[in-house]
Amino acid sequence: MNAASEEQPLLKVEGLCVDVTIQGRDYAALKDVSFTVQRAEAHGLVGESGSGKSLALRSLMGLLSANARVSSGSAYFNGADLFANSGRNFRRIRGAGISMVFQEPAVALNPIARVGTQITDGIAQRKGLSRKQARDYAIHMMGLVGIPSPELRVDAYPFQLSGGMRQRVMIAASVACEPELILCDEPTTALDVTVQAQVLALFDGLRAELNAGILYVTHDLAVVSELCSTISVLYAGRLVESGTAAEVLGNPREDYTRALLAATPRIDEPGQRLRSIPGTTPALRDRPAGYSFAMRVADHAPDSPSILQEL
Amino acid sequence: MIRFLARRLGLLVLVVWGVVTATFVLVHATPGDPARTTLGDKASESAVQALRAEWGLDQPLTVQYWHFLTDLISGNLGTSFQYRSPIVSLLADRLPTTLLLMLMAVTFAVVISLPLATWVAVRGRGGADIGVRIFGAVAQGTPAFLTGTLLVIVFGLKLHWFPVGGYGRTTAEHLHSLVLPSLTIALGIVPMLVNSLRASLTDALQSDFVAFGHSKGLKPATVLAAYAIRNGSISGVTILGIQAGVLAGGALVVEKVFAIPGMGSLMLAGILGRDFPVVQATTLVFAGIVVVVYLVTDLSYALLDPRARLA
Repeated sequence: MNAASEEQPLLKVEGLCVDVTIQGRDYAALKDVSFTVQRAEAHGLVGESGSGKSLALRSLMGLLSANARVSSGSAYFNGADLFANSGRNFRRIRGAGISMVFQEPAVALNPIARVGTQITDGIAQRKGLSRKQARDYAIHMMGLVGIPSPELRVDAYPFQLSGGMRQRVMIAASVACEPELILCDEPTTALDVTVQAQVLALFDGLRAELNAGILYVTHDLAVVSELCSTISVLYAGRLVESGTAAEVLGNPREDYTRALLAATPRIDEPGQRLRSIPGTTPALRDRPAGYSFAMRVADHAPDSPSILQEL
Repeated sequence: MIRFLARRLGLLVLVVWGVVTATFVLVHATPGDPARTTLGDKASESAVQALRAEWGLDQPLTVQYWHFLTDLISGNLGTSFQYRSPIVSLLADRLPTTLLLMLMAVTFAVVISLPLATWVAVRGRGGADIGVRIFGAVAQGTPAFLTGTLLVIVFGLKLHWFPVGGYGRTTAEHLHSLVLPSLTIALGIVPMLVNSLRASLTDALQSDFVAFGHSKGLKPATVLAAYAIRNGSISGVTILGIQAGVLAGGALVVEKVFAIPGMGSLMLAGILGRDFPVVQATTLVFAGIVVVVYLVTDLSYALLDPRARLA
């Protein structure tokens, strides 16, 4: 790696705006979002459903659906803008540069292909591996992500594996090309808590071993505090707050971050009822211009005082 | 698998028995006397009665049915009234022709439908989609005899690319003369096949597993073939199987239009000449073909989808 690439951040997103077209009208789903991911660092992108966090990930992979597009902003990966050249850069970068772990391996793995094939088809195509080499590499990768007796499972189909094993297969597939940046779209939501802890430990190990940056999207602050050193908080498509994990979680400046923290179940307060933030992030088409968390608080404060009064 | 096959074969016997019994009842209930038809209006009543006795038509219907069934089980399909030859040898001549016709029709249907459906699914809504929909509606609404006639006029009479009718002598001539007839049958199947494939391919293209395929840096063509089309085409096999009846019916009409000496034209000749044994035998064979196609459909489903094979 040359000196210049050591200096610049691995990923620098600046002023990212994503528009979504619904029934012929454009809505701003992401507005002016900026953050940075360094090498060997895990950055948490935190927000509720509808905050636009998954959209941000997909835009960085060039995998937005047909009705969504990046309207302005830039994303520099190793100094080169991903969105330049009308998105043609993505193909070269996917896999070996940036890879992605999807939320639900049950739907993100090809249901009719063997898991071994799915782990290595990317690298096999890139490096021209033989069938035997690819299979051996798949077994190696499966062992690396903690799948027991991988030689017995390499020829299995996704439906023959448990949810935790499937997510490990997905992780193995996304790190098979040793990417510099791994995008994670809530990869532990479909898993039970013990498996979740194992998978988080796995990501942490990969970050250290591959010197890879991780951009981890989640609504779960417990996960973030375990894995990430820096955090950005998204609300309704806008960046609310960002900083080191210690700053943001220990001393949140914004009401929304405080509300999210208060809604996180705590193990040191057993018997406490689960608390939630009243209301939901409004759907894109119902969102007034300049929508903020204060407006949601104002809407819901009278009948649901619990969290909001603590702010 | 063995039990599955045994059950399906048992079902096959049951269906075939039902079909031959229904046919037996129908041909005997149809007005018109085979002996009178064969001998003509000028033959004497005694000659007609003698022929009826020779063919066993003077016996009670139940006795005739019993003879018919016991002969059938011993593999004897009887003797044709008009051709005066054993039906088994008539079928041996004609069955391969019809099987070749149906095989070519299925091949054309797939070769036309899959690229068309893929093209439309990739392009999404727009001109291509509307064009294919209109073509589908027109093709679906046009009866085979009209489609066949139009194809004959354009490719036979005007362009001289293919013969107007007949079957030729050599294998090459056979194949050449079956192009227009099989295309006629195929065009009857294509609309439904394209619609179903378009829907499942569109689903597949929007699925997470296709996004996952792209995220691994695979060539777009690989993702399309190995991820989208392989998953999306499974439903097409089912549709193709369901169309087996249409295929058989199409062969019947098309063989008449193009003067092809196959099972369909044999059956029509049998019906017109009150040739009971021929009608019964050809119906039996067509029913057998349809049932076997259903069986093959189920088996190929298992071949394409490991979930059907292993779960």
